[in-house]
Amino acid sequence: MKNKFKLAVSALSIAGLLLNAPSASAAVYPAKGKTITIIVPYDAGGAGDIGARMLAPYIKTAIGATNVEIVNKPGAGSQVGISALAAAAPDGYTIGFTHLPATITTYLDPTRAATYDLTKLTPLAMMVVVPTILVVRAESKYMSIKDLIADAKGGAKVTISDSGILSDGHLASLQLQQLAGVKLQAVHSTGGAATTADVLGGQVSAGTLNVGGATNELIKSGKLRILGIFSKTKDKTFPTAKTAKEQGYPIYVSTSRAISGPAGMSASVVIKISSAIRTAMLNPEFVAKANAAGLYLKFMWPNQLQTYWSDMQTATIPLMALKNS
Amino acid sequence: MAIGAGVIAMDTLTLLFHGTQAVFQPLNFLFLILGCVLGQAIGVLPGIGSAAAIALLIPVTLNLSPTASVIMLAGIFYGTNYGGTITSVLMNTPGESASVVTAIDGYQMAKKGRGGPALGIAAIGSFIGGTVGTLGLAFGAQWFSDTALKIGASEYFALMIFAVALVTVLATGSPVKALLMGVLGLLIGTIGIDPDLGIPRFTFGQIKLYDGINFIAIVIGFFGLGEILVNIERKVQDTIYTQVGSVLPNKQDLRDSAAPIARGTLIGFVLGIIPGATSAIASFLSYGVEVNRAKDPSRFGKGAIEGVAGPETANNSFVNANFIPLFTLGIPGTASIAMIMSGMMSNGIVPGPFLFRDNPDFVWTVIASMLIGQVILLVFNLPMVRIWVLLLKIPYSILFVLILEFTLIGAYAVSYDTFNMYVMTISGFFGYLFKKMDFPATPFVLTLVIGPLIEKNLRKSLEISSGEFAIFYQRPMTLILLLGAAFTIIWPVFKWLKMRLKNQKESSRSRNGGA
Repeated sequence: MKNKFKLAVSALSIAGLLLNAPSASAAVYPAKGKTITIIVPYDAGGAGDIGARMLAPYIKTAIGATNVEIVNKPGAGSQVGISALAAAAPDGYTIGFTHLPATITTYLDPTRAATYDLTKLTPLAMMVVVPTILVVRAESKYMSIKDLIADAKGGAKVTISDSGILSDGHLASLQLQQLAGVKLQAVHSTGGAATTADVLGGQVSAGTLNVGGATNELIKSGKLRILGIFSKTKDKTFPTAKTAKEQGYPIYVSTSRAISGPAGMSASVVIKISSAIRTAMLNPEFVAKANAAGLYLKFMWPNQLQTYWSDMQTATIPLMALKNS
Repeated sequence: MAIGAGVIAMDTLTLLFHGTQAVFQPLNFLFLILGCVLGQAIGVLPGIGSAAAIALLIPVTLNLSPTASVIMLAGIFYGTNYGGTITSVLMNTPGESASVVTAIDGYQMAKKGRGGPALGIAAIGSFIGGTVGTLGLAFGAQWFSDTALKIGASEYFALMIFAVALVTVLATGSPVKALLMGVLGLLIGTIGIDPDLGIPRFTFGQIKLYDGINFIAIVIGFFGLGEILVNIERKVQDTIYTQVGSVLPNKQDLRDSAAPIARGTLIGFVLGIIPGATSAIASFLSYGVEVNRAKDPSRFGKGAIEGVAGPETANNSFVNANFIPLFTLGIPGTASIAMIMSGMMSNGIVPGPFLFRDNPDFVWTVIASMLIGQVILLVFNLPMVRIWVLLLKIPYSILFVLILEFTLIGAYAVSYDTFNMYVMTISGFFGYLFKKMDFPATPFVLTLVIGPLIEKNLRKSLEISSGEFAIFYQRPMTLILLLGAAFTIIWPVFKWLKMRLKNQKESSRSRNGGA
C-alpha cells in the first residue's frame, strides 16, 4: 500500500516533470516572474525614450509579462546600447530600440568599429516613422526644391543645415545633390533644435528637419515653410506640401524607431513579441497619448521591417563615400 | 507706439496676476515647493544634474495636470543652481558644471571663515538673476528670441574665444603654466567622436571614450579629491576652519557684489537666449569679466566675493532666460531644458509660436510660479546658510571621509557607470600633482568645457562659408568680439611694455643725474 502510493507519487511527479520541462524553456513565453528588458540606447527623457516609456505598459498587458522594464544605455550615439542588445541572450527577455538610419550609418562606418550589423540583430517591429522634410524660413525666396536647385545651378552658394553627419537629413541632402548634379554645402548642427535655430536665424539657406512636435507649430505659424517632403505619400498634417518625388526627386528618407532583438531568436517568440507590440500600438488609450505627444506611429511586421531596413542599408552604402563632400 | 507698449505691459501684468493666483491653488503650490526642494537637493549632490533628475520624474508627471507637472520640473531646473553652490563653497566639490567657477573663490572664502557670506551672496545673486531672467520671459520673450537667432556659429565662436581670452589673461602666477594647463584642457576635450565628421579620436577602440571624458567627473576629481589629498598630507588639524564667521554678507560685501550681480544678470540672460550655450559658459564668462573689471585682479583665486556673486547670478539668469527660446520657438537650448520640453510634450503641450495664444493659462501660471519659486528658494537658502556652514565644524578627519564618499558617488551618478569613478580618481591624483607644482586649474577647466564648443562652431562657421575665413571679419558682431579678444590679450602686454619703458627712462635719467 505504502509502496503503491510512493510509486503513484513518483509517477505523477515524473509526468509532471515531463509536462513542465518543455514549457519552462520555450513554450511559455514570457515565463512567470521574468522581466522583459527594453534597452533604449539614448538618455532618459529624450523623445525616443518617452515614446518607449509610453508604450512599455501596453506591451506588458498585451504579452502578459510579469514586468516590462525600460533600461537606458546611452552613449556613442546609440552604439553602446545596441552593442549590449546584440550581445544579449536571444531568449526574448532583452529587446531594444534601433533607430534608423542611425543604427545603419554607425555600423557602415568602419572607423566606429561597431560589433553589430543587421545580421547580428532580429528585427521585431516598427513603432514610429517620421518623414524628413526640407524647410526654409518665411523670408526665404525659395518656394520649392526646384527654386533651390536652380539657384545653386546659377552659382549661388546654398547651405543646408542638418542635425549631424549621416543623419537622415544629411542623407536626404546628399541624395538631392547627387540627383540634381549640383553642389549643396552641408552644415552639420548638433541636433534638430540647432538646425531649427540655424534656419530661423537665416544662418543657412535651408535645413532638414522631421515633421512633428514643435516643428509643426513653426510650420503652421508660417515661420518655417516646407520645400519638400522626402516620403512616398503626402503628409496628413500638411496636405498642400509637395513631396520631393512630385518635384522630380524621388528621395525617401525618414527617421524611424524600430524594435529589435539579438540574432537567433526563435520564430515563436518573435511572433509573440511583434503581435504584442501591434496590440499595444492599437490600444486607443495609447494612441491618444501618442497623438498628444506628436508621435508618428507606424507598425511593421518583422518581415516588412527586415525589407525596410535592408532597402535603407542598400541606399545608404553609396552615400557613405560622399559624406565628406 | 509708447501707448501700445504700455497696453502690452498692462496686459502682461494682468495675465501674470491671474497666473499668480493659479500658482496658489493647493496642488500647484505643493508641486512648486516640491520642485524647488528637489532641485535644491539635486544641486547639492555632485554628479546628478537637473537633466537626469527631470528625466526620472517625467513618467511621474503623466498622472498630474500639465501645469503642475511643468511647475515642478521647472522648479527642479532652476532650483539646482541654488544647491550647486553649497558643495562648491564648502568642499571645493562642484555640484553642477555651472558652479565649477564658484569653487575657485568660494572655497577660498570658506577657508578664511567667510563661507557664510559666500553662500549668502550666491543666494541673493541667484535670486536677482533668476527673477530678471523670468521677467524677460514675461515681458519680451518674442523679441528676445528673434534677436538671439541672429547669433550664428561665427559669432558664437568669437564669443568663446573672447571668454578664453578673458580667463587666460587673468591667470595669476606663471603665464607659461597657465597656457600649458589651457592646452591640456583643449587636448582632453578632443577625446571622443569628432563633432563634425563623426570619427572617433583618441579613443583607442574603447567605446566608453566615444562620448569623451566626462567634464563633471574630471572636475569633481580635480577639485574635490585633489583638495582632500593636499589637506591630508598636511598634519590633519581638528578643523580647518576654526571660525565660521558671520553668516550673512555685510554691507561692504553687498557693495562689492552689486555691480558683479548686475553684469552677471546681463551675461547670463544674453547667453540664456542663445540656443546652444551652457550655463557653465555663462558663469565662466561672468568670472572673466569680473577679474578684468577689478582694480586688483590678484585678489581673485584667494577669496574675492565678486568671483562668487557674478557667476552665481549669471547661471541663474541663464537658466530662467533659457525658457525664452523654448516657449516662443520650441527650441530647447540645453539638455536640461530639452527635458522640460519632453515633459511638456508628453503632457500634450507643444511649445512654439502658438503656446502663448493657445495655452495662456498654462504659460502664465508657469511663469508666475518661476517668480514665486525664486522667492521660495531665497527664503529657503538664507536661513539654511547657517546650518550648511556648521558642516565646517565637523573635524576634518571625519569630514574628508564624507567628502571622499561624495566625490565617488557624484562621479558614479554622472552616468551610473563605474568608469567615471576611475576618471574621477585619476583626475584627483593629477589635481593633487598640479596643485603641488602650482599649475592653475582655472584655464584647464575652462578650455575643457569651452574647447569642444570652439571646435564645433569654428568648423560650422567654415561649413557655412564654404571654407572662406572671410566669415570672421565680414560679420560685424563676430569681428567686434574677435577684436575684443585680441585687445584683452594685447592690452596687458602693452601696459607692461609701457611700464618697462618708463622705468628704463627713469632709471637712465637718475643715472644721468647721478653722473
